[in-house]
Amino acid sequence: MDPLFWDALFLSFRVAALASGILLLGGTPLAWLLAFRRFPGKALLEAVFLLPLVLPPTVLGFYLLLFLGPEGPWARLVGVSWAFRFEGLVFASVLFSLPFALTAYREAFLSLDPNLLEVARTLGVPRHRILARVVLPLVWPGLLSGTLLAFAHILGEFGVVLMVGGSIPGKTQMVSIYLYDLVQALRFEEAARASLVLLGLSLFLLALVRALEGRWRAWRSTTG
Amino acid sequence: MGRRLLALLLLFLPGLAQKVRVVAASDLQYALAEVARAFEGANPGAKVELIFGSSGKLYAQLIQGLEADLLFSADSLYPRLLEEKGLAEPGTRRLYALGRLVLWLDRRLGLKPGPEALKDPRVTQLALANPVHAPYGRAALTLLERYGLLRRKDLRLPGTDKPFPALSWAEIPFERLTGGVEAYWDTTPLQTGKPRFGFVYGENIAQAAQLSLTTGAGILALPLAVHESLSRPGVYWVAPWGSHLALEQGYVVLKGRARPEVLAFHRFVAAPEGRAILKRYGFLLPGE
Repeated sequence: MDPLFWDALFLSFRVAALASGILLLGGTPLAWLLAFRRFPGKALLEAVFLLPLVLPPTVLGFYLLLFLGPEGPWARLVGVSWAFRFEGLVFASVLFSLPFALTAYREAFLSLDPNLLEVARTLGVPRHRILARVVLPLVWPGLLSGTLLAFAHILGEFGVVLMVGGSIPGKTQMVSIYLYDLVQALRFEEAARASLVLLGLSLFLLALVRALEGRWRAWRSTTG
Repeated sequence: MGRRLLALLLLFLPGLAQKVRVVAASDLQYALAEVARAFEGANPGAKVELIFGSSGKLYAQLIQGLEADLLFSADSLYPRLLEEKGLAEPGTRRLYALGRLVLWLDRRLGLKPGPEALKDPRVTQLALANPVHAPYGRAALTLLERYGLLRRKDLRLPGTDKPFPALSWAEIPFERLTGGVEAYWDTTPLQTGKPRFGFVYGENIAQAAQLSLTTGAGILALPLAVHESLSRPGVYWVAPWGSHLALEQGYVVLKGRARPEVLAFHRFVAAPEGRAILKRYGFLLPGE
């Protein structure tokens, strides 16, 4: 196997790990808000968060390129263009995986038994302890499966990455783009081997997600 | 009843048009579109369908059964490979143009376009078509070599029996150079005196052109650079013929596709009207 394949795969892992970490930290409170709070403009906000699900990746990539490029608002804010950089890839990945993570997180929160929280509250348990002792133990499989799903999705994303990445080997050439270039260079055998690795990996991740969901359901039926 | 029949007929009439499906290298996206329009104007009832991409990708798709009548490549290799595989109509492989390379710079950089400009600290990113599979990307690297902006590292490339510095341009196994330019070439001349410098790779030459609007600099195809979308925001320098790997662009009719309308388009490209359009977009023409 071409050692550059492992470089590309490792890069994809780094981008996916960082982006799904950010999603877990930032998406959880957001999902909580969407699950339990009512506020004006909520429906619109939800629609905006779900947008990457239906938007063609190239459209999203195009907007991101303008947003992150040297003339864009983001470059003015942080002082440097994030287009064709690792940071830009992470930024883009967080955005296009947001609907996957958010939907899973919100699902996890919505399945909480409100009585449980009510009981804890009336017993005078402080809020942070309710979170740590009641909420988290019940929702973590849901949070984890959502994060894994986002992770797997980022590993496979192509259109957005093509637009904002610039295909720099070792820096922004994620594994999906690497494979595409391999096919175009007519190196079909290597492309086939690399694809097989990715197929196995994706299957493993999805099986993990399903197992977590199964465990979560079994758990709820015993506790709930 | 008669009117209904007529309506039905009209409905199917567009399907009766003689359709020619062309897959073409992205450097042709403006020029060939105009050739196709001229052809349709001269041949009422004919319809040319254009699909653009990098030559390598199109070739890969063709050998996997992509339905198309003609391939216009950005080099002469892929049409020849098709012929060798028996996937081309014998005797239809021709040269239609010689591709010209330009160095394109964003007008706002305020630089005089030319190889020297690339040493300016304001040029921190350079967009290329991916040399692994795009002919224009390969030519771009040889151009940078010729002007001393890239120096070959002393290493042996996979699949070759000579050290890299001893290889001729034609001998470089570009399809294996997946590690990025810096892995094989010393880029010091482009790096010195700059806070940072790097290459950005487009999937095809048209994407490289689009990327250069963000990077501010790129090595592109002349037929794209003359288009207003690039000539308005930028300035360019045309590389002298012979200063880079020759872009001898060939085309060919695919096996079993020699229908009259396909052959008519094949002829039209090489006829004075077709040639005039290609010439206007900056291509050199074979036999001139």
